[in-house]
Amino acid sequence: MSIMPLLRKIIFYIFLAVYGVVCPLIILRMLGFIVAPPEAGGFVKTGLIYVSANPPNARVIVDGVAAHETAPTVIRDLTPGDHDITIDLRGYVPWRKRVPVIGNKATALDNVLLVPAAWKTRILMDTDFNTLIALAGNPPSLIAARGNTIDDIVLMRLNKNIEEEDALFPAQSIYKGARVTGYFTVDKSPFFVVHIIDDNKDKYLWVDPREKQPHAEDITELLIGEPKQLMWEASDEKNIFALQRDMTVNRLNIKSKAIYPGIMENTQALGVMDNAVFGLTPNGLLIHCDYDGQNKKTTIPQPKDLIVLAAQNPDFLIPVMRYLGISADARGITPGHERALALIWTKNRVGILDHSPQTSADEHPASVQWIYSRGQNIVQAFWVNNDDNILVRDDGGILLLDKENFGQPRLTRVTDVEGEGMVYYTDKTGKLYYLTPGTRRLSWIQIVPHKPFIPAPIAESLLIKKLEH
Amino acid sequence: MDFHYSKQHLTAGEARLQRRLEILPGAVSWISLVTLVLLSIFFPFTAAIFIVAFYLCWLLRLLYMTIFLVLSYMRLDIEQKTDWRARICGMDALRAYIENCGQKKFGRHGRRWFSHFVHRRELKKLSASGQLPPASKDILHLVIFPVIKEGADIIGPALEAIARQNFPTRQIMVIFALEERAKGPVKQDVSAVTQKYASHFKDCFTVLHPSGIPGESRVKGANVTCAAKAAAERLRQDHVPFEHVIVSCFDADTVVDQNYFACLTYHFMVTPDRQRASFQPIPVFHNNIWHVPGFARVIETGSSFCQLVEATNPEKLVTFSSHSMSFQALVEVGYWPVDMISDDSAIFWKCYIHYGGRYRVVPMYTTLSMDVACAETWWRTVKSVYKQKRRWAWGVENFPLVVRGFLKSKEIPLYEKIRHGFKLFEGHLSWATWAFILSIIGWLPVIFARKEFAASVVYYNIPDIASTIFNLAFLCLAICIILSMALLPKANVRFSRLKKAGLALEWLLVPVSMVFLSALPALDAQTRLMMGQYLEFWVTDKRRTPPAR
Repeated sequence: MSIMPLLRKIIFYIFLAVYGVVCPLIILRMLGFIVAPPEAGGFVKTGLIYVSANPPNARVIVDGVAAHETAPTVIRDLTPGDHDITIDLRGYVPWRKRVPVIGNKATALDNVLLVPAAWKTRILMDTDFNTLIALAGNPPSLIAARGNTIDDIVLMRLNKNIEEEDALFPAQSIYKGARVTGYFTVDKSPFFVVHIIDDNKDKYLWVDPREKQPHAEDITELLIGEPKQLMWEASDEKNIFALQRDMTVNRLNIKSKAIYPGIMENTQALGVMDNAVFGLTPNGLLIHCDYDGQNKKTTIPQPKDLIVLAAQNPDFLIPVMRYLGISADARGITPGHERALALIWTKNRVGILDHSPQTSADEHPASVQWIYSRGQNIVQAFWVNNDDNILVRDDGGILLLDKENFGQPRLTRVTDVEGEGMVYYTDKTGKLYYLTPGTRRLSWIQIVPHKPFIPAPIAESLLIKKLEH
Repeated sequence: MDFHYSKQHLTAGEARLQRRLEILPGAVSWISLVTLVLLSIFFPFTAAIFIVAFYLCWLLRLLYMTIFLVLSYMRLDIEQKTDWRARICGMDALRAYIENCGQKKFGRHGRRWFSHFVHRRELKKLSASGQLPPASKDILHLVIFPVIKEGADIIGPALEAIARQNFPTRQIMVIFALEERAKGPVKQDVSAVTQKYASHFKDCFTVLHPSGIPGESRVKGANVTCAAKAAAERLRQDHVPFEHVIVSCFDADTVVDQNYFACLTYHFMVTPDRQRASFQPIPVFHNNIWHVPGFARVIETGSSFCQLVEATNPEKLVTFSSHSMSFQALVEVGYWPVDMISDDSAIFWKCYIHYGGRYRVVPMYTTLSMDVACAETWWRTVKSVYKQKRRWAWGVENFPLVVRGFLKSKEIPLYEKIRHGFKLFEGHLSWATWAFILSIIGWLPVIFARKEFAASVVYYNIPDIASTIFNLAFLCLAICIILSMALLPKANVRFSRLKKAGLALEWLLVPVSMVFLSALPALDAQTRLMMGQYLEFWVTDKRRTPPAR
């Protein structure tokens, strides 16, 4: 035989032997098996902990031993049982938990929000305000009012790095001096309707604040009397639905100035979603129809749609809770990014409502895990840090909670706020906006640091989206 | 063995078997890919285990191939300085030459020693076989160039290279196999080139291949067969014994190394049972290498590397592209198939089956250079490369014929049938599937991970293991980059370090080009064969000017 074919055969059989030995070992390693000392059980099925923190590059200490890499990192070869994990970064309070590890399983400490040693409050405007209203959009914005006239309203655009102040109405506005009596807003919509009294006449102005000079449209003539509720789809610039005092619903086309009366009757609460209008009858039935009032049905929507409706309009909360099989005196609900989870709060409790398919297979379409039960008077709650944390406005203070707490809740008081004023948090900037107690200055606190780009293996970057659902 | 190597004129039973065997490669490729995708989605743990086992298998195979790529390249490098003419002359007086060889000393010249060592082994084998070669002056080379749309800019350099051979050109006969349907300017170019070089060779003439001959397809094999038959007629008239004739069937753009015919003559002479052998040089694609886009350069360099690796395994070597063979064997097996696109590999299988397994391919460590597929624009070049690779992958059409031949043959040992059949099948299967598994499917368990899998250690360990394996594979890539630089035509290496770095970085395109310009055309070819949508011969675009952006 020639040299080369002989050499090929020899190397082939060597490689075959290597494969025969190495392949099973690698597969066992992949499945989490390691060879431990006999006192540790010999051949052990291990688990792992994935740790990522915000801000990144924090030191990870497992059972007193520092990991080789800073977060984000995977700590492998952990024997089943509880392990003490500390995530430590200079300037932040060390995060400590006793975390359970199960053989062949991964425990994810994903996107752990580190709390600064001291929260830094920054004054945005050195003026006392009495009203704070949040508007969605890109960027989101705040309406802050110093007094009761239209001239007192300031529009604050919440850009990623800097906030910009704009007057809502120009100095020469025809509504100058008008008294503001109320606002109508819709969850996730950049538009709002402001109710004013100008020359002793009620007026309703539909406002699009997205342009540098906000556009206001007088829609008073389209409304028949004082509406009980105004509703529109978040990005719809054309149609507004008005729930009148006589429990009828009218559709108003603000572009063509047309009224489509009575598309729904006998309605006590209104919601709009996915080109459909939802109404709640006095006897608790949920009906829906298209924009022209056609195809009326009483079919119960999916839980995720019910949650969006309830987030739009608190009047839906009670019947929606009943549909979801949740017996809770809810005050508010807000869907998470993936809508399979929602944040729900009552006067004293904050919980995670889960309506993922696994839960839906049970008798009830959703279940709630209460993660905070010692509230005094919970008014607002926000998903924070890509839904991994929760901000709760309880009585006069703001609290920060971990969503996953392994039975060891971490409760951090962030700041005190003005008693009656609302607060606003957006993950787009990671900032909490609020009025300081007493002085009522518009201020902010950076709750979630900006995320620098960290190259991560596909599993780790995908995990951020997947694990929770 | 009398086996009709064609899918035409079959009995009903043969046709049924042929059709089933045509379906098999494509079906297995698709089943493999779809099964893996489904496993990744619905049984991610099983898929993960399979994928890791596959990754490791691929890594070891890559390492294995890299070892032999390096060895083969070293051998090519060593043999480039071999004086083939001196060896040929020596073999004309074989006994004295063998004695003389035994006395040669090389001191510290390890490369020359190795070449001589191999040479002595070959001489011993020849001597032991008792099949003494004909005198070198009696050997005639018949070179056939099929032409359909190649102009003087392509065929001129090809002939010039033959005219400058380090071998008596009066022992070379050149034939242009010109398609009747070729356009006027092409015919004029062929005529002009023939006239220009006629005096250099024993003979140089054109054979016009008529279109539409019954039983023939519009393929290269029909054209060159027509030319070979004409040549046979002329050789008979000249009383030249066929066993002294070596036929080289070259693509029209083939520019041979100046030692090619000397090297070929040596291998023909030194090979026992030389009438049962084909001679395979190492194809390189240097004619227009500096004028083609990076992805095309990388793909074709990869093809050269594959051939280098294959050259180390003569037991399983199959003829590819431009190559040479015994003319007597060609005539005895009935010339090239006239209805198959992959005539280059088909002629080997035809001979192998005809001679009951007593036919082989002898690797030659000399190069011949061809054009990289290149069209007017970048995008057309992509399409051109895709179509060329699909045509190459259409070599899968040999699988049903070879299996039918094996089933019919009683002379070929069962082990050889299984070994060759498996290699042919597995080669096409891995060509069409491996790049997809490595680049796309391997990630699917992680991408489609549901709650249970995402919370397992496997979910985290797969990317870790995969990245370790890919990092090790990068070593092989680095070796390929170095060898590709070394293999480049020396006269053109006048580039700055920046340019060289650019050439090296082109290799980072490998994962993309392997999927879209290798695996996809292969899967396309297998799918067409599976569906009975047979390909027609498509002549590759070749240019020696850069494509427009």
